[in-house]
Amino acid sequence: MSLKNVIAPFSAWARAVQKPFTVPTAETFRPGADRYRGWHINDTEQCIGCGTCSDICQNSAIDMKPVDEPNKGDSGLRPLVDYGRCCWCALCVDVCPSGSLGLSSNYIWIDRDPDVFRYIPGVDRKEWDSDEKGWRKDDGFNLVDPDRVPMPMMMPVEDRVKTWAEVVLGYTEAEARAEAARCVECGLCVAACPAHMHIPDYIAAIRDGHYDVAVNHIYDNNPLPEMCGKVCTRRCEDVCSIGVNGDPLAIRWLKRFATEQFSDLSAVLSHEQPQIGTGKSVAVIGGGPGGLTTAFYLAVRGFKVTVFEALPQVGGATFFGIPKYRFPLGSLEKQIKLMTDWGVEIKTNHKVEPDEFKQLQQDYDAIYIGTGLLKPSSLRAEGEDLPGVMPAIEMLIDHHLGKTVEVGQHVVVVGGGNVAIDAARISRRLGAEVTIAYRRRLEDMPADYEEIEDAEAEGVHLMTQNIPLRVEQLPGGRLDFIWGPAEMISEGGGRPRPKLIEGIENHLAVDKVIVAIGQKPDLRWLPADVAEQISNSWGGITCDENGMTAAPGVFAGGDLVNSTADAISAIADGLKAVDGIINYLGLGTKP
Amino acid sequence: MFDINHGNLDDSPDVGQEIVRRIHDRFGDFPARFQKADLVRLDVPQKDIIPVLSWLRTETPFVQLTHLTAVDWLEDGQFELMYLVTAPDLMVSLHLCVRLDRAKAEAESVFNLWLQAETYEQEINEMFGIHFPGSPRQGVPFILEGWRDMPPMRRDFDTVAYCDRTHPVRPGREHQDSRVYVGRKFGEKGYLK
Amino acid sequence: MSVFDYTTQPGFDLISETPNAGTTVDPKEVQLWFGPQHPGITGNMSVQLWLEGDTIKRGITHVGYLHRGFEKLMERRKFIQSFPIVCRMCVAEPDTTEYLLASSLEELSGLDQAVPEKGQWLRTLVMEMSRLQVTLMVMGGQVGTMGMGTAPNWTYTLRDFLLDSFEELTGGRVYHMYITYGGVRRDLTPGFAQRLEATLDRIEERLPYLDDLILNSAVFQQRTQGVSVVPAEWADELGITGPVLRAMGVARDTRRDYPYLKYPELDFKVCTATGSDIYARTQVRRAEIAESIHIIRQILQMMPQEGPYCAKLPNMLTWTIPAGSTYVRAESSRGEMGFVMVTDGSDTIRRVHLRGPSYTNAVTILERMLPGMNIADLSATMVSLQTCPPEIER
Ligand SMILES: Cc1cc2nc3c(=O)[nH]c(=O)nc-3n(C[C@H](O)[C@H](O)[C@H](O)COP(=O)(O)OP(=O)(O)OC[C@H]3O[C@@H](n4cnc5c(N)ncnc54)[C@H](O)[C@@H]3O)c2cc1C
Ligand code: SF4
Ligand code: SF4
Repeated sequence: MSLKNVIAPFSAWARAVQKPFTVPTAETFRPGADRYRGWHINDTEQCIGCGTCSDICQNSAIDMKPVDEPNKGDSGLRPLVDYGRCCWCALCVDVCPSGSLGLSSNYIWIDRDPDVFRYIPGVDRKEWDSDEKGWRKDDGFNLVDPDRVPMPMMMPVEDRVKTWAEVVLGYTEAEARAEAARCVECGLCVAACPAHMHIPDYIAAIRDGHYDVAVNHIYDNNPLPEMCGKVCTRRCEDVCSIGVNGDPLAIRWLKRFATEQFSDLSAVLSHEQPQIGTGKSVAVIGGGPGGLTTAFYLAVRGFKVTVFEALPQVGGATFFGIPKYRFPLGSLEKQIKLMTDWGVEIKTNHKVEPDEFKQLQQDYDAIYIGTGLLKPSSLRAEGEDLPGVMPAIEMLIDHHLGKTVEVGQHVVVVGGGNVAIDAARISRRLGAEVTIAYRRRLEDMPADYEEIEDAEAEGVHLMTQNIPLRVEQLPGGRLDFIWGPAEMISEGGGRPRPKLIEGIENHLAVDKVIVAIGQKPDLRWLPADVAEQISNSWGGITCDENGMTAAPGVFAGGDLVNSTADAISAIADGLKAVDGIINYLGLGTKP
Repeated sequence: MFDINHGNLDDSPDVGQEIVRRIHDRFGDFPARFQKADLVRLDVPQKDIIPVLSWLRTETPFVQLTHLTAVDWLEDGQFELMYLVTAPDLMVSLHLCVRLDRAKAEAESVFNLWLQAETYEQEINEMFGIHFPGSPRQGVPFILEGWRDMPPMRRDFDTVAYCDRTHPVRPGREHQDSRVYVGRKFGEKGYLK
Repeated sequence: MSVFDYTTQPGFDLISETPNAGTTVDPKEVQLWFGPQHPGITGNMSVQLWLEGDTIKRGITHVGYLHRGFEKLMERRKFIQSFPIVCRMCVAEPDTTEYLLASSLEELSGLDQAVPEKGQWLRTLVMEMSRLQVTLMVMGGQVGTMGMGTAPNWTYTLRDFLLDSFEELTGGRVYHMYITYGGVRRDLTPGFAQRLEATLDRIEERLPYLDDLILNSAVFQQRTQGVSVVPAEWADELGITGPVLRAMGVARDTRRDYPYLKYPELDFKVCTATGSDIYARTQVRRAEIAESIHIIRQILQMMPQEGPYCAKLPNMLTWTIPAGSTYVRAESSRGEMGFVMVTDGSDTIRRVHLRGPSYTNAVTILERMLPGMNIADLSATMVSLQTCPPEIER
């Protein structure tokens, strides 16, 4: 033992006169670091109640609770955190698809009552609600996958306009399963889908590779899923929680994938509906999606159902309107085959006339009307009657019935909806230069954004804020499409509307003007008294909550009735009519 | 460390390949998977495991038992024992895996090869109910004093039920699954089923 | 109750409620429980001792006060949900187990290829900060067991400055929950490097004083030199790693022998000492403090400032990993920690097993060292073996 080592520890005395490390924490509050993980905060306006925070919490510290005033379009639930369980891992924050959840930098909260340590952040107000600091979601770290698996295309874009072949290739099995794995199963899509399809359930089945299970979930609310899988307006994707900060799930493509796995659907589908309709018969007028839905689900319940369709093929606008490069005929026929296999009787080339309608009322226990919108709206501009100005809907019907449609070298399509885009892309395939003239801005276009992108890719030229003034005849059979520019005006916070800037006239020489600014119902085939009884101010039909018109036993749905005018809404109306007809005939379980 | 039959392992350019070759030559063609530079997995039949381990321990540089653990393959009716044996000077490990009949749940002890196996075997005995006859602390509680239920690491031990029993949730807790809640709120139903 | 009847299982008849029942009682012998409530015990465990005078005749380690069943819990959770669990396996040093979980599952899923450069550097940084932080704590603990107060106060405070940095980077002081699949959870904060440098300087400035209080102190030397020597032949026999091994003069270190993260690009030496007693183990730790500071400084220098810190992850709520098994290891402050990871193709872990140095250190080695030990040295011996009960029983 050396003296040096005996003395060494005393060197510490040198420190005695220095400022101590310790600070009196009892008096001074020590704030947490900028990204401290303290008590929860939630921006309840932004929160969509998807419950993903609750799903990821490995401590089961989060319960989802119904709150009084939910935002429109969310689940109406908000997370409640129990600090008897929470370990402040902040996985809930990092997974939150809306980015509404955070942890504050506050970590001190003293109370004698242990039960106060649970609250609904943002709803039960706390002093740290406005804390700017604390743990927040960071873009560089995602626990859910914001990037959609890209949809492969059948062929390069320059070849597309040369054929009528389907544009979209469809997912491979691996792609579909990878895309399905992005779902967090919050179910918000179920609320948004007009038919309330069991979306998370079939996505989960696809993820696990059980495609037959998926198709069974899908057919539970939709007898035309392959059609919807290709062309649906997919309002489900608008509310998808992954879509808040990323690409929404490709719900439509997944549905398409599942149904395309089976060429014979009756082999995979099973149904367990009691045969309650024996001896009852139902007439369906109009073989569009709504009518076919009613027919199919009544037929599986043992009703005798006959569909009357004026055209040579059922499908309604999905047959005569939607182009085959989006929804091939074979795909439609496959879905119709299941319907006829399962007992639906279809009479095509059979237009119902007023007298026959009276007879149908006698012969059938109930009638469903789904004759859609077939009368084009007019351009309401000078020159609209000139030869060469044609309604899109007529052009499409002619085209799909196999008649030759002449579009010439250059067409202008007026309108901004799906019909306009379809007419434009068909005209491209018929060899024309195509310009779309739309009154509002690009972002206001009602057409599907992917449709717009595809049209542009195929060389369709888009002109927005374009108001048609008149059409004039040019020598040589051509037309002068004269238009004025519009400015967008917002009044009272509403949707900005276009206003013509006076005094400017632009000219566009074209061969055809295709008008696609909407369709209207045409009820002239109904007996006048019935039409009088059931129609409304805009020429459509009004139904009660059971889908029944003012005429007892006469039900209606689809574009004629709803304001959304898309296929899935027609299907939802058809489902409503199924319940309505069953109840009307006294066969329902409901009183 | 010198293997009298084959020469020095240290000289081999790929120790993993070489040791597997020697085990194959000597004991049989066990499936081997070269997981990474320093790890080879070998699936050894139960009858061969003790001979292989003793040979490694006594005649090769693989002298260390880095760990020993078990896996319950309930659906196969088997347990798996995983011995990680390391050659610390060569920096290579062998994962020797052996399947046992789950109903019998018995394996030979390696306590005679490695002293610290007594604790590993004690824990496996307690947590999986696998018996190592002759190992010193079989049946002596290690972590679970007074445990009366089935060995808890067995797959059929239901942790959630155990927790619900021993640590009941606070009264009044109620959780709504958003998927179910949304479906109910919007009258979701099926038209085929 | 479970339908399983454990009483019919092999070995049940050997289980008795009281451990070591039937041991004959020697009238000169005193039985004493050291722990679980004792200021000198290393955490929640106890050693049952049989004493004659103040000499220990034999003893048995008892754990089980802290068993949380983590390995079982992880079998019942999605992969991401295991992430808040692993940091609790070794309370003082959460980063090593976080890294082991992440790297084992990355290896089995193929995600390891995607971990970005900066993520690797940040992982290395916190791993080394963690080793430093724990080593400081253990240095203090070591002299604390001998009744010295000043040095532990200093080392714990210096550690707390490091915890400030952890708090800044990871949002938490003790459970960092920072290293995860694909990289780390957050980027560096602005000015982090300067603040950490300042802390390193502060630690470095204090080290000579600590030397005077600890290694150069005649009292400490008397209490530790030649005390609790771990025989060299146990090294391979028992798989000893870490400072306990290096105090025998054996230069083995996982960071060097099984290179991982950015360690191959860093310049550091494997610190050794001779004697294999408590003093030698303390010397190794003291040298490793300086070495860790040296490593952290290099990391702060070499780390890229730009770039992603985490790979793109699949949806963590549905992530499945192909069936496989592996073993990953890392050098914790105590020695080699490893994860045996088995997956079965589902969205949960099939089996995970933590291999920690305490497991052998505190049971097999300690029990073998007890006979003949003076009871006054027990605490110091346990700290020098760096016993960590949460790691033993998980
Ligand atoms: C060009 C175009 C593109 C579209 N693109 C999409 C799209 O991408 N996505 C989408 O969701 N929706 C799209 N729609 C809308 C969608 O197709 C319709 O909303 C849907 O088809 C409406 O269904 P429905 O049941 O009302 O009947 P409709 O589809 O309108 O069908 C009515 C049927 O009734 C028949 N009919 C009419 N009168 C009689 C009578 N007296 N006797 C017998 N039969 C009669 C008609 O021939 C027709 O087949 C598009 C529509 C068009 C025109
Ligand atoms: S994850 Fe976010 S958006 Fe979803 S319920 Fe929780 S806090 Fe709200
Ligand atoms: S911080 Fe972690 S433990 Fe706490 S509620 Fe969120 S996910 Fe659950």
